[in-house]
Amino acid sequence: MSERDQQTRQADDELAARLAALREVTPPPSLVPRVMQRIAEPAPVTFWTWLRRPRRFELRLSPLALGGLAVAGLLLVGLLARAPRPGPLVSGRPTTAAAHEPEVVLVRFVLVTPGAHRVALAGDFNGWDPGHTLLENADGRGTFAANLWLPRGAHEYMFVVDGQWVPDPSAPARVPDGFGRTNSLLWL
Amino acid sequence: MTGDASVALPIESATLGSGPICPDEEQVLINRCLAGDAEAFRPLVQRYQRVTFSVALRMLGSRADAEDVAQQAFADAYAALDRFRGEGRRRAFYTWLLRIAINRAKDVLKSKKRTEEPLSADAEGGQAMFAHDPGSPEAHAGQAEDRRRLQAALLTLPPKYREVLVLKDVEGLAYEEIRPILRLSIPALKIRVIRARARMRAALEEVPR
Repeated sequence: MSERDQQTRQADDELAARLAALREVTPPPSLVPRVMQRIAEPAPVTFWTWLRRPRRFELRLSPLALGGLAVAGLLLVGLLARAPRPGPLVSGRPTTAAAHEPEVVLVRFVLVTPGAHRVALAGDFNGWDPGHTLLENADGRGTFAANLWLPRGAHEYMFVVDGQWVPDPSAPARVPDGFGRTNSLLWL
Repeated sequence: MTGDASVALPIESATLGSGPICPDEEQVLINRCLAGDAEAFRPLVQRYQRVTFSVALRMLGSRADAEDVAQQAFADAYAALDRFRGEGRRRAFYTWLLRIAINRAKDVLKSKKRTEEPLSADAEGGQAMFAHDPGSPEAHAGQAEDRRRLQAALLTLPPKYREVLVLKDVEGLAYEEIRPILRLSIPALKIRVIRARARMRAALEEVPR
């Protein structure tokens, strides 16, 4: 280690020791009672909480309508059985759909961001790890894309563009992430 | 200071409040909250009020703003408890809460930037601010003056450098704990700390004595 590096390290150590003194803080006595008062108040109803609230639906169908639905269902199953299977994936997930139907769905994530160098996908399906799923610059002009097999259900995710967390501008919905921001939401 | 070593006091003994709460106990309290027992949240607030307020105070420089942010962070955490995934990880709730507080503090910084309201820097103004302060009056004055200069220099740093210094050097968190809070890789964090300390040293030169 050079003398200059040693001096920098020593200066860093001294600075860190001085900054540690800022830790000695006494919060205002009103903090705890005010927090407890706030959480005792009923939470405002947001769109997301309204959407997730359990509801009871009653559906009445005539025998004719039931028969029609059954025929339509059979036709749909037949069509799905004939549908072509997707190809290999970039995510390292299963390469054949048959073994996983119907629990997983192939999803293509696309973000057009010209000028970006590194675009990743982070979500509840990969532990919010921005290093796990990188998108490929498909056209070399900033159209980043990746295919993933995802379980059916709701998934929250964000793009990470050159280290910056950004929501998907084309996401079907957004939800609060509990930290004062919003995640993109995808239903499968 | 370099690497993961810290000259700051051990977190377990210095940063947190009285009485340890292990992850299992925290999860029990959280489960009680989720079952509708709001009073079970009180020990968690008491336990983490100091660090939450401290982080907000050092980010914002104003005790009033810091109290608002700390309150909001706890309220946010309580409202999102059903989405908290501690999974027995050590200090999972602690780092989760700090992430909320940091984000809330940055929101305040953004709103102040929009309204062009200067930061108040009244962080060292309160007489009852320090938990203990032994020593002579001269030593007391010298330490208070040093803290004033450090806080003033901190407030001149961009938020991305301020937050990493607050977490690493002021609160003494390990890189592994800061990583989920700031959502950065360990190498990126280490580089940011090095740059933040360099900026901080330069900023201290500019702060009048």
